[in-house]
Amino acid sequence: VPYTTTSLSALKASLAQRWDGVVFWTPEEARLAINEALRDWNLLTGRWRGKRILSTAAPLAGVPVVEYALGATMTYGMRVAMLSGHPLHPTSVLELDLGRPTWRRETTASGGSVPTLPELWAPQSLQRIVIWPATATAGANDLLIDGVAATPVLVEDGDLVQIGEEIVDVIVDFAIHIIAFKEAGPRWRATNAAFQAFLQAAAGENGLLKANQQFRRWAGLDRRRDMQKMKDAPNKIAEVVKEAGAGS
Amino acid sequence: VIDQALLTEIQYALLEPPDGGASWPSEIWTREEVLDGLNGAIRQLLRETHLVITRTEIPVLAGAVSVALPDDWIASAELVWRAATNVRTPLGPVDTFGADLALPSWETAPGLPIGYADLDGAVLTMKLVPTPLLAGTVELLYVARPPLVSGAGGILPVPDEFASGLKYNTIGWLLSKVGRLMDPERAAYCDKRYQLTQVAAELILGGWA
Repeated sequence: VPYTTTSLSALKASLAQRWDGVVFWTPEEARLAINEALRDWNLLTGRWRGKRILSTAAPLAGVPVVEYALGATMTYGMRVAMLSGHPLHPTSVLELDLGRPTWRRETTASGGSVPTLPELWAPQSLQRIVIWPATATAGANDLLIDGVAATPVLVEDGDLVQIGEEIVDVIVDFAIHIIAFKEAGPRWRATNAAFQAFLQAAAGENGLLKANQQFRRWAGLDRRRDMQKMKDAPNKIAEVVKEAGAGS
Repeated sequence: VIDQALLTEIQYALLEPPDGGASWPSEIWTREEVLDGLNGAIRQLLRETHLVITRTEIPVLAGAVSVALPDDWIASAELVWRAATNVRTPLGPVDTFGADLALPSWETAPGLPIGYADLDGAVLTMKLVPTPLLAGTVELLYVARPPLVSGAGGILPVPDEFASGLKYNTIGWLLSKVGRLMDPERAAYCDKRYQLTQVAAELILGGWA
């Protein structure tokens, strides 16, 4: 993906070029719409990433520490590894509870079938994760978290944002759709295609979205129903009416 | 995102003069009405997605038939029973109807809790199923009632990326009001935008099970 650095003023100019005639928005509206498009893109694709380093803790009063807070600078975690480079595999708390009910009391020193290094991690909420097994001793800065960072917010015209060249158009078109919402009616409806294109581009970057049935319907990716005629489809009632009409 | 910035975005979308949500001169909606809609949107998103959770520990006595939940509790996310020996047991959500059928003696024959019922008892209380034989601690992860947004420049209690969900949920609610600007088409679109945020949150939090 070729990355490009784009300024807010360039994005605003691109926005204006896409409208034939006098623009129906103020510069501030354009800025807000571009920022909204950027934060929605980050929500759906996790484009802007960051790194966080945490220290692991020894059991507190005999209770293994399995939960770790990521802190406010990271929106959510995507990959966890030990400082040594040993990666932890992602799972879910439900899977841990069902597959290994004893996981909360196990540490790297438990022995038996319990690994001597943390092997699994799972999100517990946006900014909180759990690991298994818990560490038996404290470790300074030994947990590396790669995750999604906060979306850059463009304020001044000279502010820059790094985005792939191929999505600049998608972001700008979606920003017009956001602005046109206030107009309602035909002008807003005319921009709905930009919303669809935005969703489809997001699905192209995020496989989880593509697999979500509800999302596929919104993004127009579920085309199976198009194969079945919904309007004026032949049916028994129409046949009966037709025959009755022919007989009279 | 601070609340005034989001209120300004809502004002632009509803053709009101942008001033951080201070005034709504069209008189179709009042400032309090808009704030009510925004606070409702925040509560709905947090309750439905468990986006932000709070952790607390509740000491429980042996034989306790009812356990008080925190005052700011909205929904339970995850509970674990920790015995005095530090052995932890995950608790699953149940209701008393299911508990009565599956374990008829759950109230009369105390044992090791394996479930919790937090929706069909008195408000802000829960029952452990079965009633605990020994004293222990409930490790509770729950959705706490978010602080009310007042439009005075406070930070929204969700990361910026989820602000659009709040914006469109609020606008959808306002456009559904029976009145001069009732707009079912755009209200339905707003519902879709909110659901998009909800789906994204569920994917992010769902793990890989």
